[in-house]
Amino acid sequence: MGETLQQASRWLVPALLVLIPLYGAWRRVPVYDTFVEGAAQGLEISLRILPYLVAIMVALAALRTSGLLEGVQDILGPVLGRWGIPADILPLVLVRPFSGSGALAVTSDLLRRHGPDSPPGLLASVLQGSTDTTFYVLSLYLGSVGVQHPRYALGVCLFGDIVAFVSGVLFWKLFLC
Amino acid sequence: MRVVLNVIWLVLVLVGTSVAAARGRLDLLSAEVFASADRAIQYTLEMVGAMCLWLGILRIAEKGGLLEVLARVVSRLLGPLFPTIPGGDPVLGTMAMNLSANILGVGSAATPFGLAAMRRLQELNPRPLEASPAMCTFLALNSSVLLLVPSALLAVRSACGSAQPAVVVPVIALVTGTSWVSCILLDAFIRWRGRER
Repeated sequence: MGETLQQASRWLVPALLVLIPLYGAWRRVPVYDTFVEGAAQGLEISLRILPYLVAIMVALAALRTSGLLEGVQDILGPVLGRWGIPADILPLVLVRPFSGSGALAVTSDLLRRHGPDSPPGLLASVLQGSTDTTFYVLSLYLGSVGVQHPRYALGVCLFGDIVAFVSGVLFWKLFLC
Repeated sequence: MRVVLNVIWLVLVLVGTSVAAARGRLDLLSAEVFASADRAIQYTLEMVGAMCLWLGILRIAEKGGLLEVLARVVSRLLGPLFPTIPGGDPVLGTMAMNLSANILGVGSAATPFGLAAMRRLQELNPRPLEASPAMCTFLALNSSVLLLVPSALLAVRSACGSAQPAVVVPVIALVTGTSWVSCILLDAFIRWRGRER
């Protein structure tokens, strides 16, 4: 199953690169101009992430040099170790519900240190991709219309995140290890 | 909600620094902290190219109307989940656009549709200080939504030198599909119990 997945994903990027511009041309979109327009946004987003990246990476560097994460790994070792989950995934789980840019910063730090195609790198990618900035979205959406009491929305959304984290670890173990 | 993140950041810095001090690692810490700030710049520069590539491609899909095609399918599925919204209300279309943008990983397009949908849901809300059941359903759908094209993640994976940036895409679709269905079921269950009492 893991093999098939890798074969399929090998085709995914080239397929997107060809099919989407072809579809655009068929719908009479000026593909080159539109591409440039979208790419300009990429520059903007990267620059917007930069301050988050500095803030998060400095905090994580402090945490890492302190040696505390190894301590956590030792304590949670029996659980995390059996699954092959690295302790530095924990900051990602902590930051993810609050800040998308912050979580992306943690993920890119994890990918650099473990390698994007290593088991920990793949787990970080799956968790980053599968969960949402629940607290941020709730406060933005409800706050924008002046709703003060989220009622059971918060519980349902957090339940979704927990399901995503647990099934993320399960499917990562099943298909990507 | 932003307060929580401020607390987390402060705790990370405080705990890291004090543990390092207790273990006599302060020199190493000072060096590491500045080195990591430098690395942040380097990561950003390496990410820009891939980010531009994906967002450029995605914009072509968006302008070609892929979003609208998907939204037409999604809006047909939404009706039964929102019994308190009169059939044919335009808010169903707005919510479908928001969810479709999320499914395709176009976050910047999703937010304006999402906020527009919330405005209309608030007009239909009998108690404006509390989230209505329709709002709760919409937020549940939105926060756990199925993700087919994780564009920012693909960009970061490419920038980190991944040989197969897209290998996680089917797994993410599987995981988000699972959490989406779980959220829809839990929300439906809560509304069903509320009506029983």
